[in-house]
Amino acid sequence: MATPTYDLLASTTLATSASSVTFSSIDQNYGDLILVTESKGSVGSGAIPTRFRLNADSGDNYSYVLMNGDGSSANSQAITGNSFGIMSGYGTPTETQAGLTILQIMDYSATDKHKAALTRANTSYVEAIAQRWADTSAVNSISVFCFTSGDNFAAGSTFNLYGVAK
Amino acid sequence: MSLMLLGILNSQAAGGGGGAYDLLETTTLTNTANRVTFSGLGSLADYQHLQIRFVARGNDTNLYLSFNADNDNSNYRGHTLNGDGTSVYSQTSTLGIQTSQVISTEANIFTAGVMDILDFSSSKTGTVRTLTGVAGSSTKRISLTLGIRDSTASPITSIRIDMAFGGSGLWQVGTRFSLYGIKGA
Repeated sequence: MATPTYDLLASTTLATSASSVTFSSIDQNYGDLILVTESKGSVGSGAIPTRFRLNADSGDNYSYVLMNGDGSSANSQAITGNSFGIMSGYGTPTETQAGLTILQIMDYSATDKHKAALTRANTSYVEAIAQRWADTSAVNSISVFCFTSGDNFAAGSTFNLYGVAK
Repeated sequence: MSLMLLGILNSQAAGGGGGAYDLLETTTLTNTANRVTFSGLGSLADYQHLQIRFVARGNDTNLYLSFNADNDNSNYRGHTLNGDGTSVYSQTSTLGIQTSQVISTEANIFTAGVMDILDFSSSKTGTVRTLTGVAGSSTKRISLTLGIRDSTASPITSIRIDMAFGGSGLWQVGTRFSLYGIKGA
């Protein structure tokens, strides 16, 4: 038998609106993590910028470079020293526009490198993002959260975490 | 499947069985190396597509991909959509399937990449698509690449991943390439 390779580690579908979802005590026996989210904003939230943190680190240790398009123009942006990673850049989920994001965190359990991540996000923009967490610690938790106080993910939003063997 | 490197940590899993997406082989460098090669792919009859997932650091910023020991880069071509933090632009390569200026050369900072090699066992030209990126201190780039081998039409039996043109550079310690098989109908 081949090695089990692409396994669902945890899954959350919100029964009620919530401002954050956290996966903790992540199994360290895989090579990469893939977080797939499909979220909308709860009624009244409007656009909900969505961020993530690893190991609850709120230090200025996150960087990204992105490119995107919205049907009329293409953009690129690079930011260094954020206190969070981004689930999407220019685009955000809204009450009516779902945000679809695939966040891949490579070599998450390694302790010899900063953690590199690739993101594909679809909102009102289509985006590709490279991200880095400037920390060599193994990743044992991921928290996805609404950036703006008072915002919430709508009930029915889904968050699925997979492990890919290496 | 064989491995053509010294100084590597290698794990392999026998093909067959399992799910539709299987880990076939991983190479993690414990010494620097000019290239990583996955060979013996002709025996992977259970799979239709291949995927390579990697984290990589080198002493040059370019990765070159070639197949079946055909290392004449003029037999490959591709185009890329890049974002560098300032603008989005497209490039064409008539010299190899490459992800250019995206491999990290900085300490502790590794480039992440996912490469899909489609219909590798058919007698087609070999199509590769990649998503690669790094948010480094100096190297900042996100790239989408499409590449093809247009000189021959034969199944892909080996894949060579060079650090810089012709393998003239060195992949650094900690670089990891993992090969996966994806089953078809």
